[in-house]
Amino acid sequence: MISNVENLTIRRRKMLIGFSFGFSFSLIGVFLSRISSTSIVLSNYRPIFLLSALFGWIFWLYNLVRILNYQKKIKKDPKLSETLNDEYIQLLRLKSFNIAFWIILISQGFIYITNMFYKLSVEFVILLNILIAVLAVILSFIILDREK
Amino acid sequence: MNNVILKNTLKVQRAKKDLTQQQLADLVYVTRKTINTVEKGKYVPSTMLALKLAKTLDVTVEELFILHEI
Repeated sequence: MISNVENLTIRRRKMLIGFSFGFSFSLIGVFLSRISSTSIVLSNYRPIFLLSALFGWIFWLYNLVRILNYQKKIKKDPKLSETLNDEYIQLLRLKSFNIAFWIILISQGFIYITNMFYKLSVEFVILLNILIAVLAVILSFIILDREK
Repeated sequence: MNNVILKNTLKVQRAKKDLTQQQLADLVYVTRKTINTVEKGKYVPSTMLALKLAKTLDVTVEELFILHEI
């Protein structure tokens, strides 16, 4: 039988995966729909991109509400909160921020070099940076937190 | 003292008390994953957690965690 703590740990992991999935879909969808408005080839696919952005946004929002509710529920029980945010989880969080820092730094280098050969739009760079920063932290935590 | 590794008898002591990883985790307020990583030697716990584990298992910290010279 799975205990309450184990159950909540699995739920947290699923919510983070859902959050990342929705966030990626919404940002990529927004970006592609912007490109398709200026490109003749991609203009036919614009409704699909917009739809995927909307789907991603709804999914992201749904998971965000779930995460907020989860946090609210846990805060009511200090012992449960202590267990779910124990020292090992805090260490994994610290590690994931450390990994994300290097991923962001390396990605800036790639963006800078790419920009030397191909002019990137400011909007694209901003969206890409947001996507990389958010995903790097969450995905590295999910990878570090998996059962070994 | 440079080439030393930390070993633990957590699994043995836990078995003596007839506790599962989850039961021990519930007693010291950590997740089962934390107990599992400590048992496998992948994670060295804080002094606080080491003391809590020792107290729960009715052993000394030295009995639970042993420094091994390579």
